[in-house]
Formats: sequence, structure tokens, C-alpha cells
Amino acid sequence: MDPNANNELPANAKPQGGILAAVLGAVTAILSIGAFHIVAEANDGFKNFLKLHEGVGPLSGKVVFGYIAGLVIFAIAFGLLHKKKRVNIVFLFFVLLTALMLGTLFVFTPFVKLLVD
Amino acid sequence: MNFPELLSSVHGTIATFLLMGFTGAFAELVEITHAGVKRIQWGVGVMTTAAILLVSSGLWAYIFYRAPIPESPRSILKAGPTPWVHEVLFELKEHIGTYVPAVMLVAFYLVFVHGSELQQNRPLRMLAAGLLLLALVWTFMTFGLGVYVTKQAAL
Repeated sequence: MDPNANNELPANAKPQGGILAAVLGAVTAILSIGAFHIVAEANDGFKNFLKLHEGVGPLSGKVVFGYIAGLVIFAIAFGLLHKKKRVNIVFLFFVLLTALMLGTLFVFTPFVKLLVD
Repeated sequence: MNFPELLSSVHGTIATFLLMGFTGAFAELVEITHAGVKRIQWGVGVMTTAAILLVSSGLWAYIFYRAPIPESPRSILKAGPTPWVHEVLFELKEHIGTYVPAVMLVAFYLVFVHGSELQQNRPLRMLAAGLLLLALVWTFMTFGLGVYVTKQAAL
């Protein structure tokens, strides 16, 4: 009998909370990069702060700080959630899809200009 | 071929490795075979590594793209009749490409931590497949924007 037929986890299933933590980390990284971009466009001081590398410019800080934020959230969420037995798989996919779409919107110049101007 | 052109070529070539990793892993996720889990892990490993290398090489090439000299592609685009190619399209490309490693790291965690369950757990396999599709779509968008910008002002 298929163990998934009645929505049951297989016998060797590990807790799925870590997957939720990983998704939260990824969502944080993506939305942080987008948010940093909007703030940088509105504030020259913040834009200069993000210039970790002169050649790459503010993008260097957006990526580095965005992924640091994601890793921190992953670590915290993992500590809190890793024993959670199961998570809503479909919900996690759509959360990540929504984050990607919002992150894309946050770096779309016409939208950013609407917010900043 | 100078160094920026070589770097740009390498950057584009790495994308083909991401595509190769995708085809191997995705097929197994949809219809898993006996050797499936190993192939999935290899494919996702290749994709994750390629995604990180794509962002790294892209940031490196970006130095030459945005160099503060009149001959840099950014300067040419901003001074020309189509500044929106930089202000909208390249701004979009340079940012959305950095999202792909985040998606791939989730997939990497899933297939390596829960690898032993993938054979029996179809919902987990479908989530992994969905993550790879998201990574592929965002990579294709980045790649397409890059191809268009390069046509307008090559590195």
C-alpha cells in the first residue's frame, strides 16, 4: 500500500521542519536583496554603505548582506523548527514562488521609481 | 579575446552545466528509477554549484560592465538612444540572477537530508522538482536578459 495514499509519512521519514527553515532562509535572502535595492535607490547614504567592493558597487552589499540575513534566519528557524514532523509542501512551494515574484518586482525599475519618487 | 570577453563566455557556459544538472535530476524526480536518488543528488549538486559560480562570475564580469569609462557597456547604453536597456533590463538581470542560489540551496538541503525518503515520498519529490523548475525559469530569464543586453552593448 502506498504510504502516501492516506497522507501518511513513510516509516523512515525524518522531521520536515528543516525544509521549512530552509525555505524561510531563502525567502529572507531574496526579499532582503530586493528591499536593499529599493532602500538604496531612495537613500544615497545606504547605497554607499552597500558598496563593499568599488568595482561591483552596491550590488556587492545587497548580495552579501542578503545571503547573511538568509543564513541567520535559516539557523534560527532550524533551531526552532527542526523537530516539526511534517510541513505543508504545497504551501512552501507557493511561499517561495511568491517571494521570487516579489523579489523580481522589487528590482523592476519602473516599480521602484513609483515607490521612491 | 580579452579577459572580460573570456569571463563573459565562461559565465554563459556555466549556465549550460546548470541546464545539464537540471535535465538529469528533473527526469528522476518526475519518474524515479532504481538509480534515481544518486542521480537526483548529483544533478542538484551540479545545479547548486553552477548557480553559485554563475553569480560569482557574474559579479566579476559586472566590474567590467559598469567600469566608469566611456567604453564600458553601461556607459555606452546610458549615453545612447536606449538607456532603458541598462536602467530596466540589466538592473533586472543583475538582481534576479542572485536569487537562483537561494532556491537551489533549499533543493540541495531537501535532496541530501531527505534523500533516503525520496523513493517513497512523492510529495517531497514534487517539491524538489518544483524548486528546480523555479531555478530554471529564473535562470532562463536572467540568461535571456543578458543575451539581449549583450547584443546592444557587448562586454
